[in-house]
Amino acid sequence: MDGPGARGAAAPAALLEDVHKSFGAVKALAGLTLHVDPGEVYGFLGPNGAGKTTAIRALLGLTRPDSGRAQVFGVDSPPRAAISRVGFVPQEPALYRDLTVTENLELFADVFAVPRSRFEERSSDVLKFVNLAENADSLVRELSGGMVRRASLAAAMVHDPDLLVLDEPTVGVDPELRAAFWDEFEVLKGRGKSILITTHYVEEAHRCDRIGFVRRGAIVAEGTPGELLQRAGASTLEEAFLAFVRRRAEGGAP
Amino acid sequence: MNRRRTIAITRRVLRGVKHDRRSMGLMVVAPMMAMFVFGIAFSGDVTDVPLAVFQADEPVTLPNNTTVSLGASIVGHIDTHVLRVVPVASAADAVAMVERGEARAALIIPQNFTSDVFASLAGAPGAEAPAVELRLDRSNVNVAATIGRVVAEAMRAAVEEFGRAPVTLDDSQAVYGKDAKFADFFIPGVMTFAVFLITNLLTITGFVQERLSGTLDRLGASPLTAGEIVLGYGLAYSVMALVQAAILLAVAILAFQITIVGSIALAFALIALLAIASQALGILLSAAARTEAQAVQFIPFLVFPVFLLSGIFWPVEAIPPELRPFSWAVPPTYAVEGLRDIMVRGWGLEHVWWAFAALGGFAALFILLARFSLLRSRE
Repeated sequence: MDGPGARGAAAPAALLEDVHKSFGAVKALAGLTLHVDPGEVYGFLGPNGAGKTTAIRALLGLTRPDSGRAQVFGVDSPPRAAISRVGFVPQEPALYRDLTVTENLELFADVFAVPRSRFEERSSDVLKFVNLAENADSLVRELSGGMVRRASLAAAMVHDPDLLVLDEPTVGVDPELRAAFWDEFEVLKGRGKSILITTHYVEEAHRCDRIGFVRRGAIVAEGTPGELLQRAGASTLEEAFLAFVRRRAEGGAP
Repeated sequence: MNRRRTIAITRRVLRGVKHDRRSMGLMVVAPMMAMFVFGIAFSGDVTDVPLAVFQADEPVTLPNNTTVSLGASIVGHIDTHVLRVVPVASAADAVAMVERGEARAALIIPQNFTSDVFASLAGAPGAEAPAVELRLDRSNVNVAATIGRVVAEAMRAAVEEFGRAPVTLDDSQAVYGKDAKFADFFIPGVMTFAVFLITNLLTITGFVQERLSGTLDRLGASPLTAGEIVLGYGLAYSVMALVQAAILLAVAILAFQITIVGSIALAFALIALLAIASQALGILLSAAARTEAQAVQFIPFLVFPVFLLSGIFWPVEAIPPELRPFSWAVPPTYAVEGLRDIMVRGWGLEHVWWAFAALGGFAALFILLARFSLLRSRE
């Protein structure tokens, strides 16, 4: 699985290197570079329209970059050979509303080749993990918005992926549930899983190992939350983000 | 091509429909309604049409002392299920009734009709063949044609009663469809129409939903291939089409007493193939719609050409010759013709292979295009 861009022994779980992508006249990605190491939680932070979703789509092979390199576990995008190690939670809940929660999980278990004998155990594990065990047989359309978000996360985890790619999984989720999500992510990280998460909630960013501030399709600054605050001389990440944006506009180094 | 992944898609589509009462209703109730509406409305059985009859003929006594009146016999032979005979006192009254819209035609049998007929047959000098007059209200050609046919039959029966028919037409031994009724002709049409339309409708809306809800992205970021998605859908819709067809056939047999001469298995195979082609077309069309509302706007563009061109309710031969080539460009035409060949004519694969080949070709083409459209959406 080792490929170019490998750091040390293992290839990064996710790698984007100088990726460009335009939709007509709109430049969505302008030389975006980032990597997520194994066992790392990487927060991808930026305003709406900064290119976060496009970067994720390029990484997963859902959109073809105009130039640059996108890799998952050292496999070039579209990363078919590595895709079964990835769990993806799109921005929309992306579940089948006319199916029960379990039926949704079963679909993704089949698609990701989870052994049939292990499905019961896996589905009960992930449903406990997202606290939906009691709703296993409910139709998704009968669940509340927060429950659907959690079911969506469960569907991305049923095949026990090594890399979770979460596109704004906490939008519209109440603070209590958001905190619960982050507790879950910590557990996963403890099991050596990598997480690439986009958000525009700054308070969530503090719980990431590393953060990349993204604006207009490129990273304007990257580092641990502490480093970024220090480098920007700011007291909050929000201020830090604005400081880096200002510096870039003035042509200074990030 | 991975079987487990393909079947997973098939199962998810079927389960979705199972949990969604609306789709179930659309699949089963709508075609049944169509069948009854069309079956009853188009059955071709015009009934109880008022016919004003002025019968002035007088009986003639034959040498063997029997009295005959051809005119009375004609009126007696009129199929009263179809035509309601209203006797009137004069030819003018009969026509007046038509003019007032109280009758659809006036049948006028002149005085001395029977004796004039005998005179004409005997070759009496100066004798002309007498005529029965039928004054039609042709504002409705269907009704007028039916009246003409029923009166002609009555005349033939009356003439035959006296053994005087110079020639007869024996059409009792049909090559195909000996006992075929209109229902036998239109049920294959309704089945085709229902499967084509509903499969299309469900795939277009279903696929627009896949795109909008993000599930298609999720499938895209999985080991599934575009081909597996299209085939998985195709399998699901062919299963549903078979269920639909079975229900429709059962109702057709029970309610319309149609007879199926050929192989039901062959008919079902053709319907499944139609469903596969229709769903791939649906996926293809869904790529052009951004919302479900837009998707629904495609439906008229599908319905009208198919309704008009595919020979569902009238034969392709009844379509103007300039348009006929287009008939063969819409997939349902092959299904309708093939189903009629199988169900009414009892033909086997050796005769209807062309319908299978054509629908198979459409299915393959649409699957390739649908797969291509899925891959393109990842640009």
